[in-house]
Amino acid sequence: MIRWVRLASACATSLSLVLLLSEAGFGWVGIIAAVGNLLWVGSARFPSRTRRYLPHMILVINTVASAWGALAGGPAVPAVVVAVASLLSWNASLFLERWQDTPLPVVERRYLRRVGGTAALGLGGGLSAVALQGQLSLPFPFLLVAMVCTGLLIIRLFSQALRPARQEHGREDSAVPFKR
Amino acid sequence: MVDFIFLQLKLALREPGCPICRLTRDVERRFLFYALYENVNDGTTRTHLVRSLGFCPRHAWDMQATEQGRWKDGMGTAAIYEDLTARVLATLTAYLESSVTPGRTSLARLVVRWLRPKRFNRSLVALLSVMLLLAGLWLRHSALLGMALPYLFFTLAPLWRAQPKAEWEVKRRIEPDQTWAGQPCRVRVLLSCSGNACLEELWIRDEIAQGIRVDGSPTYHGTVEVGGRCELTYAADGVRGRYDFAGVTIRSVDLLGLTQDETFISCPDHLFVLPTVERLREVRISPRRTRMYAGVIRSGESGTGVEFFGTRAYVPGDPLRHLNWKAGARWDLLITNLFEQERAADVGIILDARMIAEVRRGEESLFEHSVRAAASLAEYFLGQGNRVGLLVYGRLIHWTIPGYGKGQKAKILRSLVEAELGDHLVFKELKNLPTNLFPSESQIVLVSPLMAEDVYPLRYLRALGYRVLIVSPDPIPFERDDALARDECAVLAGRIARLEREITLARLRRGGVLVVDWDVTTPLWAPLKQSMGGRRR
Repeated sequence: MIRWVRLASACATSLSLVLLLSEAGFGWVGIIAAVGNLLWVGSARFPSRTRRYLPHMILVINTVASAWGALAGGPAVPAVVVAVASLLSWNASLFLERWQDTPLPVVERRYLRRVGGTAALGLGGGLSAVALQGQLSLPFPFLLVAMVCTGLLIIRLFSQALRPARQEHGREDSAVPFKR
Repeated sequence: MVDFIFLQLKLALREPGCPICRLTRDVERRFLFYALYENVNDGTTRTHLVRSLGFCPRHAWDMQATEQGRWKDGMGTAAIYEDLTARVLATLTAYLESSVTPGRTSLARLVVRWLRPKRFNRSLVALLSVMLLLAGLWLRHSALLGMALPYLFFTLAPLWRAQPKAEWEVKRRIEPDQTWAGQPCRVRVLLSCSGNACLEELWIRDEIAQGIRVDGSPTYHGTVEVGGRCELTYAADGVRGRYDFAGVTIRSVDLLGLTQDETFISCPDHLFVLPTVERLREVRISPRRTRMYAGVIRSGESGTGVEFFGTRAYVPGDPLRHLNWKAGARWDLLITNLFEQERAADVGIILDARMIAEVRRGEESLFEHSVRAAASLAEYFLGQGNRVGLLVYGRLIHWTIPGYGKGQKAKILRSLVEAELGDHLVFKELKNLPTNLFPSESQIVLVSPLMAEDVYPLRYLRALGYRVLIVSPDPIPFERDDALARDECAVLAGRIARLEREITLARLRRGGVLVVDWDVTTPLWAPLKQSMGGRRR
């Protein structure tokens, strides 16, 4: 499943890069970057010590290429999609490298939920930021729903992060013996 | 009733000053004197001194003054503190080397620390998000700001579900904890986790001792549920030696692979790989003095036994079945047969662990064959009911006090497991062999490749009344390289070495020392049988 996630996200990265850079007038750069992404996904099947840092390099190259495309006047939405999809494929390849033998279904499910939540949050946040600046002409109801979803996810993120601290605090309080 | 302490106090009260302090000082000086007199090269004492890093300053100076006053030198103190200083120096040097990496500036060290695998992934994403954020703010570009947000959320994602704290209990079981070389033993490490959350991804690695061979995996990768357990099981074996297991390293990784938390849980244990023991058939020894217990060594005295010893006139009470009818018919007297008593004996085995007597060929060591021979001889003599002690003579003297039976066999094998080659100025030659350790006129068995300088001390040992048997692993065929079989120089060198060895052995034999020349490619029983098979007193 995760292999498919990686493949799909790499394809999305390639497609978005081509779209972004061709709009910015550097179509050939986009094609090279896209081919590089697809080659990496294809060759990662064969583990090698030299390919250990390849996902990191691909992530950096994708980020730089998309930032360049955005600065050169490319559309903002494919830039955000490139950022999210390249992060997704990078993280999926890290997971697959760690779990080279088939991962447990429970772990796989947990990972997909975690990475999916983070990617959705990133995509929602990025698109909301772009929409707020007026670069994404969405109808008002869509924009409102996107912002509310993102806001809820952000609140969930921070509440989850604060939960352990609150639990510890509560435990300290309950440790005081009750005396009549 | 007047006791000893009262008398001491009474005597001390006659002197000026505090009597208790006087008595305490006297006891301290006496202790230091005995430590210097006989324990400077005792392995156990030195091990304790290494652990405590010597004496406190006052007693160290007292020891030096005692030695100076008594023997007008400081050799014992110097020997102890030379060793301690070398150890402290090695520890400090190792610490300095581990903490300082030469040739790197502090900035470079910072970058290297930042790029460590433990935090590399998260740092990379954080760096990209900060750069995009700064570029977006600087250029007032909304797309860059939008792009920065996914990176920012990936950086913050580990906070979403922080790694739970867990307390581990680790139990290791090595079955059996001592094994023979080449025979694997089973190692089981049971880890139980107490915490309130599931550990999603764990890498557990048992820190096995260096040099040990492992069949199976001493690692675990997976999840551990709340209050869960996991077990590592593998087989381990190795060559002779003691292997220390330090503990278990547990690396807890965030599911996204962005953060790691590594802990080491100490769970020390040991595995003893005993030397291979060869079953010997017959080693006839004849020490001049035997012990009072029954055994198989001929004592040279008449009594209960099976070997014919002599005859004498019959006296009432002698068993009639011992009457020698032929002799009686000749002398017209009642003559009874006498038999030789068979008793247990004291056997001291000396293992030569001097570095100068060692020969290596590739990975193979002649010393290992010596250890094997010592173990085989110890097992044989203990099996015959004798009292056996072991002295490892090398960097230090390691003495296993003589004893009987299976317990003593275990002690000797443990001692042989830990035997290692070493050099010491005092023990470079056999002339400083502590003969007082061995009962007078007992049997001494030396396992050594022998050097030309060893002839005199061994003949001296014989002159003291000991019966000396030398089992000498032959270093010449062991060292011979088949690739140089046609090389004239190598052949000539081999011949010279052979002649030198023959002369050494001949000088020893002339001095009454029994030498067994052992080619280590053959089993030990064969040269033993050849040298002493038909041997009688």
